[in-house]
Amino acid sequence: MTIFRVARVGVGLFFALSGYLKLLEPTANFRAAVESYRILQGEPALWFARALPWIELIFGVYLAIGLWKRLSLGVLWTINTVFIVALVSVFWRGIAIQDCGCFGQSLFSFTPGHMLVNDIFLWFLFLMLFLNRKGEAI
Amino acid sequence: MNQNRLLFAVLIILVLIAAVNVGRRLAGRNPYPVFEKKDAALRSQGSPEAPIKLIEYIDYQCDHCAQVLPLIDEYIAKRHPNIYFEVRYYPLRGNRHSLRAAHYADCAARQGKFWMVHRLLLERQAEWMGRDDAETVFQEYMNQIRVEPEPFSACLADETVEKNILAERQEAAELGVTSTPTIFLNGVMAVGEESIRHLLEKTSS
Repeated sequence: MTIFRVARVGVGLFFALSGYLKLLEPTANFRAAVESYRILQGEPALWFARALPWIELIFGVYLAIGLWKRLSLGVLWTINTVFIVALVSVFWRGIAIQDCGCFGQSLFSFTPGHMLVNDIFLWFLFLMLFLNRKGEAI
Repeated sequence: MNQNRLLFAVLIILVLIAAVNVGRRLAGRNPYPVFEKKDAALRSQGSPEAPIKLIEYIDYQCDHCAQVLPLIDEYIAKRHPNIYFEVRYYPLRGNRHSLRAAHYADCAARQGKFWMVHRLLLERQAEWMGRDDAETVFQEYMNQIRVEPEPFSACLADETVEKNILAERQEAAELGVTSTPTIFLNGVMAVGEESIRHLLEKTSS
């Protein structure tokens, strides 16, 4: 098993777990976390809170099992980039958020600072996987 | 080949939907709050038969709960007499005075003075939130609303009151409540000031 394959499965499972834990809770909890970033409010926040956990779960599993790898990588990398932009904007605007809401509220709790470091690390993993031309090797 | 992949992808989605449903069941979540509680009358307004049922889970040390108070007041005033409103306790673990504040509110409720204490604790949070001796402030509030001292002291010393408050928090957790303020408006859940404002505005029109 190559390092690329380990990274792909790890990243896929990370997003799948993140989506799954959010889906176990009422949507209202994740919606409140989304609204705490003060980027989306009202109906857009509700639809984002409904859709994002499913996208994370489905494409996370696809990536982990190696189905539509380039598409799954692209979707999750885009989400990862959106998270980084949102977290940076929270720091930029001085908004106090205690829990990023990334894994729902019940099991893991990460501050936005911890999650930003984690997301930047993931971003480079995505870059490494995307630049790997031997698609089959991952 | 591509068709097989598509079928496989759809099959995975179906498996994931099933896995989420199983996970939700295993988490033991109740979809809606139960309205038949023994002491609900002490902390409620309106008839339980009213067509609109609003339940608010609250932590007295949570500043967003204080910010939501005028929104709820306005909504109740608009919907009166077709609304039933009930306050339930959800003292957050990280807030050092929350449980004790709920204990004071509950003891005042037993003397029919819940709403007075409820307002005092929320509207004047700034007076006691940061203090080590918050109970001194609570006692001043009780003097202001003239509670009967002896039964009130007995209630404050009664450990079962806090046990009941913690049991209420556990019930809330089974509904998926993790933070405050959380409301259920005819079973629709909203968490936090923005979502609550949005839900109340949406159902006001």
